[in-house]
Amino acid sequence: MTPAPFGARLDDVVVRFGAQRRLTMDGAAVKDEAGTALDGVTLDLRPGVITGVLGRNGAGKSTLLTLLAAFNRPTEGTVRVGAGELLEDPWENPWVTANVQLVRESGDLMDDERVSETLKYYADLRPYWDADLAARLLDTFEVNPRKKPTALSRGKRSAVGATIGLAARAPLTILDEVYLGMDAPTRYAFYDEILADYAEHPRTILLSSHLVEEVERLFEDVVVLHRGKVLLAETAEEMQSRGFSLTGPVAAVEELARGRRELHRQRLGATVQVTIEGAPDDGTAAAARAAGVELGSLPLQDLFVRLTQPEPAGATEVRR
Amino acid sequence: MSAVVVTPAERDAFTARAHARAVRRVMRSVGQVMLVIGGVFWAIFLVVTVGVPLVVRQVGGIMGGGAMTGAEYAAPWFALSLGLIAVAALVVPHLAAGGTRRSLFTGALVAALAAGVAYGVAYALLLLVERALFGALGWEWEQLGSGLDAGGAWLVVTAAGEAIAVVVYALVGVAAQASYRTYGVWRGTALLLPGLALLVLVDHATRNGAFADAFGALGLGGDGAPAALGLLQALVVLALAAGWAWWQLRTLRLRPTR
Amino acid sequence: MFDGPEPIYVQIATMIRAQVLAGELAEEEQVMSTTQFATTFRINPATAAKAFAGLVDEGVLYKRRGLGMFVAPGARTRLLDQHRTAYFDDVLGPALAQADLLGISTDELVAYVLGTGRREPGGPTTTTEEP
Repeated sequence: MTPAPFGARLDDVVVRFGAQRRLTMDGAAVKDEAGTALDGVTLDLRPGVITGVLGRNGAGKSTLLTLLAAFNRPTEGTVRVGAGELLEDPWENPWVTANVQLVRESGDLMDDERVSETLKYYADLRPYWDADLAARLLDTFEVNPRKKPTALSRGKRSAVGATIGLAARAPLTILDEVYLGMDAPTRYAFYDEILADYAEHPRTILLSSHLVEEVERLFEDVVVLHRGKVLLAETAEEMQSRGFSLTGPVAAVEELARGRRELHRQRLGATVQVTIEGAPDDGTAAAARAAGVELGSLPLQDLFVRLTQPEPAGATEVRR
Repeated sequence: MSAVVVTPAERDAFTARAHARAVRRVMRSVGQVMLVIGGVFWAIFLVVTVGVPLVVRQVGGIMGGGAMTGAEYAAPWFALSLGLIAVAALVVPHLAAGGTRRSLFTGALVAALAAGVAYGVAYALLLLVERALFGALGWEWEQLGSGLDAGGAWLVVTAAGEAIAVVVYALVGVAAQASYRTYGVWRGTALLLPGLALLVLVDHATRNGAFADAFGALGLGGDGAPAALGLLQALVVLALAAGWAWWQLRTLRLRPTR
Repeated sequence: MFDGPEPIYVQIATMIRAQVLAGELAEEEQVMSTTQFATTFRINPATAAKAFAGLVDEGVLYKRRGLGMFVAPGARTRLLDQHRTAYFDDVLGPALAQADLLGISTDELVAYVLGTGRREPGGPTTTTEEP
């Protein structure tokens, strides 16, 4: 019996790190800077949906996700994770940690053991582990489990992480950039596996990725973090309705886009694609059709870039 | 969506099972490292213990003391490094697999205790082998092991002292790894000091070891102290070491690496 | 696939309606499951489910417990009726209003309709009509 999908709630969460020196696996000393990774995050993560967690490097995505899996705990504020109304602090709480699977891009494998040993460890701890699925996924991703992680390419290590994430069948499954080094066909195979397994075994999935175009269709909800704060948390549908795109002859597109806030512009020879913020007016669709301009959906990537760009939007528009 | 409602009783049963599973698994992993690699360690000492005197005898020499002096000191340090390595290898996968710091600690503690008993017994057996060998060669064998005044129970007390020392060293290794993980290189290194103090204390309590003189003046024991008192002190140090390891593990935080 | 400006579930529903209208999906024929749909088009299953739920409400699809979704009997006829009504409301109505605005007379319109029906070359229309 699998419990219902887990949701989570964060209230005024602040995470500060001190400066720190640590040794990497190959013995180099790395300095981690002091800083505020999360700065007053209040957020509801709906159970049972696939939520995209987006943000630039250093926006606080990984920190947020590690809180949910009790890798870390907040400096201030509260984190609550659980099923239904019963939300609990994840820290040192087996009810939560055994039901939450965080996979980080590093894979969190045992470096000196064969991959199969790491998988056995997960299998022994994870209450809903599906060994058949794990074996099939390794096969799909062409990973030899008798190799040690150090003998695998980055993409293959990511594939092992992907395998763990899906085979654990955790009511809250968190995939933090588990695609690095994978080639495009492998990534798409991974997305297909996520969707297929999610459809069969409903659970909550948090997916963080920089490849927004590739994954935006997978999301039901989207969270955008920026500099340790939540910039936006809404359904993908709501986010989609924040804009649209126009593709067609330059002059015609120019005419339709006049007076509207441009998010992005891309020229392909004589045609141009412009992403516009806001919903299209009633007449836009007809006018676009008449002018031979194609009205399209908002690429999430454009909105994301616009939301998280460092300088105010006006400045870039003038420069265009 | 199949929303299965979980009752508090089911939740608690699940939690207990998850904890037990995690403890068992850590016990097995850490125990395996300590017993298998430890087995190699003791096998090497067996070869040395038997081999060296025979070689010396072959070339016509006489040994004043056995090779086991080395094992007495090496074994706990060996346990320390194994504790360090085992936790280093396990901590991240353990937490990522949904284990808690508590189950990691409990499993490592049980494994260290098991290793302590095994090493203590191995040590005692090798001492007997060495004594028998020296007797057979007609050499005089200097009684090694605990300096505690144990009378006829010498061998048992020696084994117990070695066992406790091994556990303490292993736990200090665990603690060192945990504090290094949480606090990084500098503060992690500074936090080695309390661990080293524990090593000194247990050495002192279980035998008149290298540090005994420094503490002798404090009247805490030393040469000829009653065995029960020495072992009791050692057990207190073991409890402190366990507390120290738990203190370091329970606050362990895995910081994002990017 | 599905990169129009409307929400994806609306576009999915439109696509299935079009398939039913065109006869590509026959009545009583099973449609793809939510899961198949999600993995085929690489979209969130909830999005597909939302489209299907809408189509069930409209009476285009119906659910057979444990089996899946099927095209409802009479769905095509209903859709044809709806689209015919919608054609006048959404397409022809605005076009005629536009014609009125441009001062195109009813006679011209009738001539156009009949003219294109006979495919007469050089009519007043071929230049304004995009292929």
